[in-house]
Amino acid sequence: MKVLTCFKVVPDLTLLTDEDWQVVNNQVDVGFVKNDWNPFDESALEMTLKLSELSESLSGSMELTAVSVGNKKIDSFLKTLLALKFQHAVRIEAEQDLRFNPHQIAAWLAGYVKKSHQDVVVMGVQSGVGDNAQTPLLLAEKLGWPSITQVIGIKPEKNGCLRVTSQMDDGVLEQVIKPPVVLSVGNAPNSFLRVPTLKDKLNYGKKSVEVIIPTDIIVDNTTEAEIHAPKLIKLSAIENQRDSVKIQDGTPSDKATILFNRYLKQRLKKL
Amino acid sequence: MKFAIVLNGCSQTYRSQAEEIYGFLKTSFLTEGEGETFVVCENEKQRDEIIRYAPTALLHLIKMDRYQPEAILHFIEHYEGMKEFRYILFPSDFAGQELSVRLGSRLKGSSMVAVEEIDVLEDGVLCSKLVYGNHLRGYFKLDFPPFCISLQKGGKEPCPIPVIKNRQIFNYEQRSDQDSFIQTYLFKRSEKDEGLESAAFVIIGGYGLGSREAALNLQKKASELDAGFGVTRPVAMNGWMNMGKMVGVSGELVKPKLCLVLGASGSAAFMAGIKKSEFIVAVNQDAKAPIMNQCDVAVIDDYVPVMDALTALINTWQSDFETKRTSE
Ligand SMILES: Cc1cc2nc3c(=O)[nH]c(=O)nc-3n(C[C@H](O)[C@H](O)[C@H](O)COP(=O)(O)OP(=O)(O)OC[C@H]3O[C@@H](n4cnc5c(N)ncnc54)[C@H](O)[C@@H]3O)c2cc1C
Repeated sequence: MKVLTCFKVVPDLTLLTDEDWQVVNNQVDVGFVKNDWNPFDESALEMTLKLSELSESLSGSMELTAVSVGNKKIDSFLKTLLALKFQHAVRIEAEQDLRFNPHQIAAWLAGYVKKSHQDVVVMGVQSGVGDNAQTPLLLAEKLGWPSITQVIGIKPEKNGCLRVTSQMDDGVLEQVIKPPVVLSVGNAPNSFLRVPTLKDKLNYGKKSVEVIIPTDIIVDNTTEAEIHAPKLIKLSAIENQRDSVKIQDGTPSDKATILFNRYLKQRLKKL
Repeated sequence: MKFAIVLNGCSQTYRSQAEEIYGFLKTSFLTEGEGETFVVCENEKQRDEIIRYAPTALLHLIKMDRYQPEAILHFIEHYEGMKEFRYILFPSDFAGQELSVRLGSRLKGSSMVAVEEIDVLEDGVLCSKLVYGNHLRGYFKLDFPPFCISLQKGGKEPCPIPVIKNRQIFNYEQRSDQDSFIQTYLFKRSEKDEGLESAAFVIIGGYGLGSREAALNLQKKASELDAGFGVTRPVAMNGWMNMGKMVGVSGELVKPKLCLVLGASGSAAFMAGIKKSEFIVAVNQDAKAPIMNQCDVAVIDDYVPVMDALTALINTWQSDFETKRTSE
């Protein structure tokens, strides 16, 4: 079974201070903060690795590919995935502003899926900075594949099937399905991406990242993708501040007493 | 302007989906009379509730074996009158998100997820939504109808649905082979922790708790103090507490009179879940943590001794209060 896991590298926005949120020409400078895995994609990558390990004893090995869209700044992330034994690490070369264009990303991914004959696509439900939450769904439509969202568990089954667990609003759904399928991963507990061993880094990390230019995988609906993307008109800051009182002097017990007497007692009485 | 609403009647959340949409309609330029509601349902038992709470008088009831997006999309996509709708609205839940985007793609329209507000433009629609991890608001123009829009969670106040007379109901049965890729389907209903959303006092623990043990300890304290208990994403992701307790954009939204947050930095994604609280107290040892300027009172210290002292104070006060009351 060929499994493609798509991920995005995102700036850690929690590192920006209030003053950093300056919008200039509908852009915010996030270039100076560190990049990280998009949390939902991180879960997707770890779940893919676990799936592959489990399948080895059951139905033989899987062929794992990780793909991302971007410039060569993300190659270090792809190298880490090679060290974690993804057989292929692919980067679709792109420099343009794709923040709010999940249509374009989905069109390229669809092109790659078709070209490389994948059976299963796994990716996170949503990613920053656009927070579009559309890419896996648009990808499923472009491929004409079914899709399961809010996935929290994937296990191998006999006969090339998968057992997929997903979170619904009022319960948990467990389905055994026959690929092809697009799985989009939600809040899956204990799915932090493992760290490669030094040995694996040395052995596998040297493999090179495969770089693809979009024209190599373009499918006919790319222009349509461009047209259907929403047009960004304006970005504006949100005011979240409250006039907060700081309690910082004295022992913890002093602070608790001030907090309780001045602010909580009356409120608790009214509850 | 004709519009449609699509709801998932297979879910126990049906009524809240309907009230969410109705609250949105009330603040938008769309008028109820021009809307038609499509509801998927599994069995006859749900019928009365579905009809009672449908947000428009005109209702299409589609009976299916179970909630299955492929089958639902197939039905709606091929429904004859679909072309007449300029807007198709979906609730904020997972079903609303997946159906809106996929239907938008099939109908060659435009779609957007987690939309706060919509406004008419001559040649399209203007949508606002939160972007950059809830730090900024983006305004977007969608060009191609139908505009398939799923709402932002907690965006507009839900609105109770009045008794609607002269209902017009159309029934359909959809037995499709769209979901033949599914070999087995097992749904386990889990009881929702209603306590958290409706609690007047909520205590929330962040990653600063440091361990599963500390999280369980704090949960116990919260229950002794009669408070609802929630956690931030890393606490749930580490498996220290179940996902149902997660507060924030991707979890529960709380709006208590008093919200006590311990050991959380105050990321925008988390704050979105508590911002409707009347009074927020944060305890954090880092004076520079973003939450310190987004709360009403900030206590700068290790949460453990502060919480111990505070619990003792509350307990003493509570037992005094009780004694006074019984002696009166
Ligand atoms: C798409 C997306 C959706 C997300 N949705 C959510 C969501 O719904 N809910 C959510 O919570 N997060 C969500 N997140 C994650 C969010 O961005 C933050 O990573 C997360 O909220 C941080 O949690 P935290 O504050 O507990 O941890 P941290 O940011 O690690 O903060 C821990 C804090 O504890 C303090 N601390 C440590 N020890 C102590 C002590 N002993 N006493 C007092 N203070 C102490 C530290 O000073 C620090 O400020 C989402 C992220 C993304 C990308």
